[in-house]
Amino acid sequence: MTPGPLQLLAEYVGGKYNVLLAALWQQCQLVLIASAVTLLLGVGVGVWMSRRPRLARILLRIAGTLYTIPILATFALLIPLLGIGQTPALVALVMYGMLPVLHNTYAGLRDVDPAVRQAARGMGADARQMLLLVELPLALPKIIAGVRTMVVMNISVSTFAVFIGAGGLGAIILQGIRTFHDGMLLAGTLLTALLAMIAEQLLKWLEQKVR
Amino acid sequence: MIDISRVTKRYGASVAVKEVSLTVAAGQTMVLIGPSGSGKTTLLKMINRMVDFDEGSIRVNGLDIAGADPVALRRGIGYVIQQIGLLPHFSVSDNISFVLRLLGQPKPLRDERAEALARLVGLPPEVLVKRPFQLSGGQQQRVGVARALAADPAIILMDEPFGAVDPITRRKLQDMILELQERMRKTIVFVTHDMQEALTLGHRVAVLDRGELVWQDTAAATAESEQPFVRELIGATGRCAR
Repeated sequence: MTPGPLQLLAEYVGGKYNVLLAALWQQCQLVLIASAVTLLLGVGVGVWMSRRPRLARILLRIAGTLYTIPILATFALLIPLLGIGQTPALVALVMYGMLPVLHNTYAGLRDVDPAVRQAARGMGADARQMLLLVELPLALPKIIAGVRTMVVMNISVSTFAVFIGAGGLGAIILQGIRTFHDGMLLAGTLLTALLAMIAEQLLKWLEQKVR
Repeated sequence: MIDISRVTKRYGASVAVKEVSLTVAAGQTMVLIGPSGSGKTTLLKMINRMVDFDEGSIRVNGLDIAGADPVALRRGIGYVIQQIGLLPHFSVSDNISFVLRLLGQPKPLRDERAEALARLVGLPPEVLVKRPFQLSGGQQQRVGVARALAADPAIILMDEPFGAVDPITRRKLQDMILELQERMRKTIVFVTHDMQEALTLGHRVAVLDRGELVWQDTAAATAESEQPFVRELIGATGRCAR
């Protein structure tokens, strides 16, 4: 009798957990760094462009265009510029994840009640106080929602980073496919899905908390 | 004291406020009244530089505001608007003491002040820990008034503060203003389109029509005025009230 998928999975995880953990760690590193950079850049540019509505429309369109390029094509395009490895993978992930953060930061700031803004300004809030005490706190749930989309997307999309030699869980999945090793394939896939679900729930919880 | 001298404000080709001169004596309530588009709100907003004027000058307690830092100017002037604009993510207490936070005062001091101000405007102490959305419209505007008093400014600007509440609540809020004014003698500029409210609250009433000042006098003299436009405003309010 051929072993079932669960048995294969258990065998693989039992035998190769150190390989799996190393891949998981590599994946987490990639996702964390890409997400942190996207977060800082996205919120920063989002705040900046919320003061420049005309420019905002252009930037959102650019981010939207980057978002529609298949990630594999982006990787391929980056190879002549940045070679292979973690760096081009990070750049591609940041390009890809920009849209949700940029869009939600912009929308969150734009949707702040004009009456609240007017009252705060009328009471003598300066630009910094307006941003830190009024605008960002009120836009925060929306910003976190954008970050959630970005992080979950990063987790799944970063499995493709194996194609430019950035390793991670994608390497496990790819090898599982190439060698018809169902246990390996399942281990890589399930771990990626699990990671995405945990990130999703954590950020959802955070989003609720700040609301 | 507020001294407005030949102030003009244009938006493109249209003139919102045209060469208006008006003096508000210290400790008095000046009501600006007129129909929509008469320039009353624009005139009010020039005093704390929410709107910059094109010509003329405004002096607040002797200081020419054209040369003043708008942020510092606003922190020294109370400001109440019709839409209230409470900060939904702050407690009522933090809303009342918001200006003190802007001024960098420590939290215990701010809380103490918020409590005293809540009492002053007739809010029960248990609302201090609530969020604004948990309050009724009337209570929210009391918070709006308390907030304007936080830094103990000599001048308070009120832009149709009671325009969006029901008549009974409005009456109570007007009584609150009269009581506060009895005790504190602030210099108040109060915008409304309701002549009844103007005559109730104002020491003086200034009437604006299409950006021009067409009448100003004491409340008593305004009530007896034979000026056709003033009569019209009194009549309009009378009809609405019935």
